[in-house]
Amino acid sequence: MEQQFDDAYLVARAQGGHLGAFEVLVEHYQGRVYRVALRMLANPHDAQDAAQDAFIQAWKGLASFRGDSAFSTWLYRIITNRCLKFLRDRPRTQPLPETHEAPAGRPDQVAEANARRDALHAAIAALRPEQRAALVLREFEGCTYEEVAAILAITVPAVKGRLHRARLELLDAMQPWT
Amino acid sequence: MDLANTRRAEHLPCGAEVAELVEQVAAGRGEQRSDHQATCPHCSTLLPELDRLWAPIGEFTREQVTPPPGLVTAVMRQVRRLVAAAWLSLRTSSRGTTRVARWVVARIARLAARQVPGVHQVLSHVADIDTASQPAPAGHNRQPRDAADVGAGRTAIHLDLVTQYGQSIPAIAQAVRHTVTKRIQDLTGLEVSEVNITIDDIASGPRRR
Repeated sequence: MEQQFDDAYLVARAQGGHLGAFEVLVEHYQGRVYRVALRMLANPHDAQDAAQDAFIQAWKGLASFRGDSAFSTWLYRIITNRCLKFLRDRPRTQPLPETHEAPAGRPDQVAEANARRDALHAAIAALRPEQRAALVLREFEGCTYEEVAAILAITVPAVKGRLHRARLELLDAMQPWT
Repeated sequence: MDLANTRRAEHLPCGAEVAELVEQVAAGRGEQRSDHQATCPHCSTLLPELDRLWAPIGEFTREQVTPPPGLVTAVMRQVRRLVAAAWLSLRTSSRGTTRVARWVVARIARLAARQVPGVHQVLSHVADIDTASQPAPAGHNRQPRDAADVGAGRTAIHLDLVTQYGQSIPAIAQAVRHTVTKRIQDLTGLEVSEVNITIDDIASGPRRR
């Protein structure tokens, strides 16, 4: 509840042109916005560009935010659409392997963990962008089905359908590794 | 039984919906079995299998992601540029600042130009904030059609006109330049250093507004 109240206050001040209020909002939401972009685009450079563009778009569109939905839902919609557009315009961008900490363990186990991870990345990258968006919002961001439906402007049953197909693809990809 | 095919089915032989079992596992509730699931051979075969397969996926979804350190700074730098481009500061005194939006100056210019005899139409197009913030190369043909362009201490107005056939274009342009400059100075106090005029077309019919 307190979070909601803060949002409303900061958004109202930002709408009145208060840059400091907007900066606090950017600081607060950058983690979520960037994570969506990174999981959607699988490339840190593209993700940073998309996150930056999304916040600029949010600033320009602040006047049109009427508070019908939560501010976070509104931001999620902006970044998700940004990423979907990016993928439509440049569908063949190669995912950059993320740097991740090498897991400790025997070399063969490490190799297997890395290979499994690569398989999972590849399976997510192979999802249709609309399915990936539903998966990212639900499984990574923890949005409710209703929120995902509002963000993607589709119905709750459609969200469930997309999610189920996406989950099955990932489960299939994990089959050889367990 | 091939579990990959079982997953693709809509229902298990017991009638349980596969999508619901997958959802239960994805939500991390694979272990919390209902009374039916605890005793049903189909459910109690599929659920642990799904749990095992989903484990690395769930781990990945919970992984910490840190946004790049310069993100907030980069966003705010751009926002400040947008704000500076959208507003013309007129006067700052110890008792406060008076600002006029860029498009207000553009509109004053348009309305003033319309009143000049021989001007058939003034195309009204307020420049996009992004394009307006780019400095225009001298003597270059500008994209924004009717924009107030403000650099360090100077205001340049860009107008596209349709003039009446039979009237001298240089005379109209001079009159528009004079009227627009004076009107903006009278109404806003801004110094206009340039009024760039493009004649787009000639009208032969009656004057329209």
